[in-house]
Amino acid sequence: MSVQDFRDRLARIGLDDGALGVAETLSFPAATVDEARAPVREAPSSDDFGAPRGTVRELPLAVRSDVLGAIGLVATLDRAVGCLSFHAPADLPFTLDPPVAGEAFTTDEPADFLIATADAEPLAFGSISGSGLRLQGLHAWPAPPLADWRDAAGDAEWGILAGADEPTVSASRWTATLIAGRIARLLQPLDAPSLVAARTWSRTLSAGQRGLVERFATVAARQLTIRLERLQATIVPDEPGLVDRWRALCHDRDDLEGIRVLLREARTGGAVAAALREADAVGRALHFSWPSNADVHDERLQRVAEGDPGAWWAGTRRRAFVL
Amino acid sequence: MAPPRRSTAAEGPVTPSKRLNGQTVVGSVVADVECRRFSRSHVRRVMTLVEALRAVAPPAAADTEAELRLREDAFAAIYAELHRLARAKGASREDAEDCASQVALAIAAAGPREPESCPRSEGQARGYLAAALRNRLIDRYRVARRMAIPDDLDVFPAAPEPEAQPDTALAEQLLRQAETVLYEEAVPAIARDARGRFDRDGFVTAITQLRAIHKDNQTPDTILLASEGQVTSTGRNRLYKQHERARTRLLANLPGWLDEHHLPPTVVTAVHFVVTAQLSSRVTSEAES
Repeated sequence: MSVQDFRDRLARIGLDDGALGVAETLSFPAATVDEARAPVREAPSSDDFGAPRGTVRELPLAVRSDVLGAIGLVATLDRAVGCLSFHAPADLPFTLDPPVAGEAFTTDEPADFLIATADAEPLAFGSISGSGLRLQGLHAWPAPPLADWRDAAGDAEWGILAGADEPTVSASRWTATLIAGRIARLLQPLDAPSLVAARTWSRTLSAGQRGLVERFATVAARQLTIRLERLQATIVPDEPGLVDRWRALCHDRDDLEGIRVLLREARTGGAVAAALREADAVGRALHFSWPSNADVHDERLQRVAEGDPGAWWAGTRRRAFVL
Repeated sequence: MAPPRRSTAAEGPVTPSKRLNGQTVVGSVVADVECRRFSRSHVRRVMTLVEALRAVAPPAAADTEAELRLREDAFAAIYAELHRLARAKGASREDAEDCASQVALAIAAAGPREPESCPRSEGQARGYLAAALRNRLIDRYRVARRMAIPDDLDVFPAAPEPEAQPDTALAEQLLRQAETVLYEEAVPAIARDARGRFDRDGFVTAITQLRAIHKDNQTPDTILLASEGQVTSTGRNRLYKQHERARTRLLANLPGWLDEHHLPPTVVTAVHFVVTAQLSSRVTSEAES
């Protein structure tokens, strides 16, 4: 299936090109690069991977992919047998279309495939060629009508809620959805029609499309937990860039809160809420001990503080209410 | 949608909260304090603040009539309590209505909440609303100097009788009881289970230092000077990490300890207040200084 074939398929289910996300091409390592990287080698006595006993054979390489990371998948490349295989946690099941035994491809043979959820909702489009793996993320749900909401909200509000992401709004359905979540909670005046419209928009999505949004948000929440734990382990008060690092974490957490609210308005979102609870346990502890010299505050975070005094991500000027 | 309506003198006083089985309930008759756009003719159900915080969300986004009524009732209950809190802090009627309606709208806009992320007792719920009110007052009112900011004791969330003016003597007594529970019972008990690099003595010392920073106007630098004779960047970072580990341990273990000991809800709320007020780190912004 070519990219055009896939576009046609998206069009048949009512989705435009905006559903196509970031594309990346990952080259299979050549032999010389292989040696330079000095991959981990297993013990000579092991034959778990099919190598004759007594020989040395490299272990499969982990594929670093932003596209796969965003949908909760990992891939490994076993160069010895030319095999590229995909894996995911049990609670983030996936399927390949067309189906492939063991979710593993032979790298010697070209292939086009779709990575989808267990409910056959598309997650990413992939193709294997002689040189490597090409992946293109998919956000296969309709775009929120941001243009309408922007006109109603005015430039000042739009600048606060979407300004930093303005250049990428048209390029990323996911970013547009995050902005919808901000509008659903933080747009002022707080009884603006667009705030209500953003909430009702989430109900126009099908169950499968809401499942897609929740999957992306759940994966992002788990990655946020890892980032928070990393900061907690290494934080020192005079670390350069600490303020910017914390601000980014706060904004990312707030974005996921917007998605949680959108999903909750559609009576779903349990998985992302559970993932956020884990992130919040770490975030709350970090906020509780935040260095007093690192002031993180802006208009958006102030709005969060007013609506939810228990939110650890509402900047650093307020004590988060301990629940 | 129009801004919140201000009530007039002709509409009569704010309907007081009621007490039912030890919990504050609001909402049987709240027409004179609620915002007009959320007015409905249905008979309002009695709702605790805990229930209200779990249910509140923008009514206009409700997908069923039952959900709409639930959200309206929740909003009315929260508005009434915020109004009462603002008036108790000395706000004029107009300021209280402005502030309560804006904060209530912000709280509604943040919903619907997950039950696990909501206050679990009426005392906690009142404290939660007081914190929301305070967050707004600090940035919107203090700068404009239209209204005095209550200090920590004024917003003490476990005031035993919400209908009356805050009883300072009772609140102080509860505060002392909470400090005793926290520092003389909970902290030593949590320390007994400490293992590894951060041992029992280190945890207790760090909590004692954090309390001294709050109570005795000490600073990390004075603590370093007293213990090491000099202040260095390395020393500051080390002290910060000791305090950070102690706070993290306390946050992780205190809820379980409180659950095990079946303390009265007002005491549990007061302990949470003491932890927040005395042991949490805080950045002082220019706007507050």
